[in-house]
Amino acid sequence: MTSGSRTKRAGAFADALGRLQRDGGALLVVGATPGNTHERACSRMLGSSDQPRVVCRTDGSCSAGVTGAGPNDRLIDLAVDARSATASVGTGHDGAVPGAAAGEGATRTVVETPAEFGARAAEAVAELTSEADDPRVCVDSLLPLIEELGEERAFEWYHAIAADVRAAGGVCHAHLPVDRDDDLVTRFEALADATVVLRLADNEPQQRWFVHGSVTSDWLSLQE
Amino acid sequence: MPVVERMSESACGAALVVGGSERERERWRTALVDLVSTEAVADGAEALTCIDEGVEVLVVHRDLPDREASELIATVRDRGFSVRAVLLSPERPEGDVVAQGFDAWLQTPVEADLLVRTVEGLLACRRYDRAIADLYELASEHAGREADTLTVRERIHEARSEADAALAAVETIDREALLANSPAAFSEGGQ
Repeated sequence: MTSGSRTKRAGAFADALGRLQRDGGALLVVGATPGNTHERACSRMLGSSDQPRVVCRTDGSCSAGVTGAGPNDRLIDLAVDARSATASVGTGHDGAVPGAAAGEGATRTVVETPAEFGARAAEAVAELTSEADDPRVCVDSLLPLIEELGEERAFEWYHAIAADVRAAGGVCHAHLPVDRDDDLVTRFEALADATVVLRLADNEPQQRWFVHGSVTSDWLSLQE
Repeated sequence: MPVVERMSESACGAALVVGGSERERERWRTALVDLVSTEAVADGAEALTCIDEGVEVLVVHRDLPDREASELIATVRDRGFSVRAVLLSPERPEGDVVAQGFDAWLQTPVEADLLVRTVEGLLACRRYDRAIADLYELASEHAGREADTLTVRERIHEARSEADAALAAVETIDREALLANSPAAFSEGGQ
């Protein structure tokens, strides 16, 4: 590839990214990568912790975890493991729990069913939309939801979140830590405006964006 | 032969009122009929006899003479009919109505306007059920194949826009029921 065409593609990618940020959109972040590659990507996509964000956690792998949560964050945890005792004890399950454990000032809600998880997420997005023009939302992994609900219902679940956020002009992303050629990715891509593929190349975390119907980026370094 | 009020044997309506006194049934049916084709039957057995794929919403009184209201809803879904359901009850139901298969409950006596708004909400849920099922089917059709063609993308984009619009018509308050009682939850292979 010539440097001219590379520059042209980089320009088209920057334009596409700008449109996504301006108009809102949904991303699917894929790649069965080791280490903290997804976490790095997540922290960039969620934006600054000063802005209100909603983080829907199924496995706690999101960068805005207990220690990374900002003061305006709304954390919604699905206690997949527990129907369980452990997730509900001491966390005020089924209720909003402000406090240090969730990050100073952040609000944490623990729910037991995916349907309730979706309902609380929808409410949080609606609240956020009334406060901010650019809501940022993360679903830290779709895999536990797929395991819990099956593919079709998990698909419906993410559609509801993605459509709400897109309508609010915000950006949401969901992590699907499997290879890009997995059938799951093809299905869930139907819900997204762009697919972001992650990989480790010589131990360097990298990302490549496929903006649907538009442009594909080069492999780009994922800086901390 | 079951008695189906104000309907022919072969033509079930898009909403079906089940149970309550004859006077109540007629009041609820009359309230709904301007919104959606509505029929009324006295009990669960009659409901199961006359239900067909055109029925989208069940309006079920708590005190059916022949079975539990939640049992009727489960049987209807087991038979492959995708319905949304509202429970009518003179007092607050025990337990979680969503977990019992209902999308909403209303206290009787119920104002006609409230009944109409509730059924309108459930019809919006059904429109969403269909739109999201269409999108999933389209997405699945192309899984494992080279999907990134312009035509496929356009079809998926169009189906997604329809699902987005259908979702926008569903009130946030219905979201938990929307997800919990999705037809996919009751279909073969649903979990």
